Amino acid sequence: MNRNGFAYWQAQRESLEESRTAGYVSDDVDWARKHGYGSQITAKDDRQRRHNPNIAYHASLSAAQRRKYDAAMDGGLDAPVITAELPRGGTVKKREGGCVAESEKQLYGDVRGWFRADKVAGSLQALYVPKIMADTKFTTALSAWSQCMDRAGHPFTNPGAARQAAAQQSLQMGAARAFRAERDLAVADATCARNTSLRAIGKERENHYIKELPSAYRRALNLSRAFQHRALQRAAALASPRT
Amino acid sequence: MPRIRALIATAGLVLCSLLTSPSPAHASTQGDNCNAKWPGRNGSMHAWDWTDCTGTYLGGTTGNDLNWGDGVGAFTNASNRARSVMNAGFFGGRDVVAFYFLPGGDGSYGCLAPGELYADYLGDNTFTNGASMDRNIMASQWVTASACAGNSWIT
Repeated sequence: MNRNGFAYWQAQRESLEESRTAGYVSDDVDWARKHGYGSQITAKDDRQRRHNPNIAYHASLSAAQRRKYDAAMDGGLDAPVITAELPRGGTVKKREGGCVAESEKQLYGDVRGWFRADKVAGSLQALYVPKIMADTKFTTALSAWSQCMDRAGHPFTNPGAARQAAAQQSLQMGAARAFRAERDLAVADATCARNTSLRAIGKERENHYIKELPSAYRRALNLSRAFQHRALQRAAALASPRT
Repeated sequence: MPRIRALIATAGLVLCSLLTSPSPAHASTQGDNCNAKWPGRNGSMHAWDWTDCTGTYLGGTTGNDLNWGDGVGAFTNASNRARSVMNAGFFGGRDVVAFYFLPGGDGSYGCLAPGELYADYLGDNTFTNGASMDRNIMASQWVTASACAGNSWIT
């Protein structure tokens, strides 16, 4: 963007701890004790995003300059489009232009290859997640989790329901009380998940059903991971690590 | 704030040279109005109560609104009305907009990537619970792409 004659401010990155993604099951009790389900991290990101200097800068440009800015950023409305066919039907597309395209090329090399592998790999979840949910090993652990939660005073059938309840509560209570309630729930959730080995069992069943996928799908999954791994190595050479 | 190198996700930004003129997207009637309403990449997201970014403008924001139906935030009295939405956010970090079936910012959702620009007809899309997204959105927030399930991407 600088070479195109525009200023561009780096977005404030979340810390390593803040940017942890939870997945279906979380059993990190310490994290839950500190962050609940992460609502305050989201609120912090929201506050910072509203004060992103790029917003005011973009607004200060003339209409003609704004068009040049957009073209430089990602190619604008007329950017070339790349597509990926999904194994179960449907096409996803992505505009690929400007500095975004250049950055992705630097990270992934073969951008089309990465996009296709990534989208195919992502679409596979719909194939194996229902199998995990129906698997006796998993449902037994989930039932044990639910009983544990019930004993702790939080009757929920699954972790998703618990998280949703926390989100709903936040709409009904004041912020401080809502966060305390969220933390209590998240700690109980993670504690019960640890006691019942729910995450480990879920992960093991996921690996089991992935192995049963047709080899073409497993190849896409491996290819997607290889792209990510290479991109991470290239990124590490370009950017400082998160702390 | 001094000018500094920007980062895309975890990467360093390439100081790239000006693009040569790309091949134009083939013309279509779908999305014409969304294209006309495109504000450029200014960090915001938007919603309208009709298709192709027409009808009543429901609101827009650079932030989150976990309850489109209450009287506060960027979206007020907007629950279960949106038929088209737009993501004009900056790339990197939480650059995807997640739209939710219920207020609160959890539960079933659909994700709009920044590269997609907009979804001009939500009737083409479903939440992760299978329900149509047309006139069914009650909350929105910015998330990372990794927070979105493979089948949650909307077009």
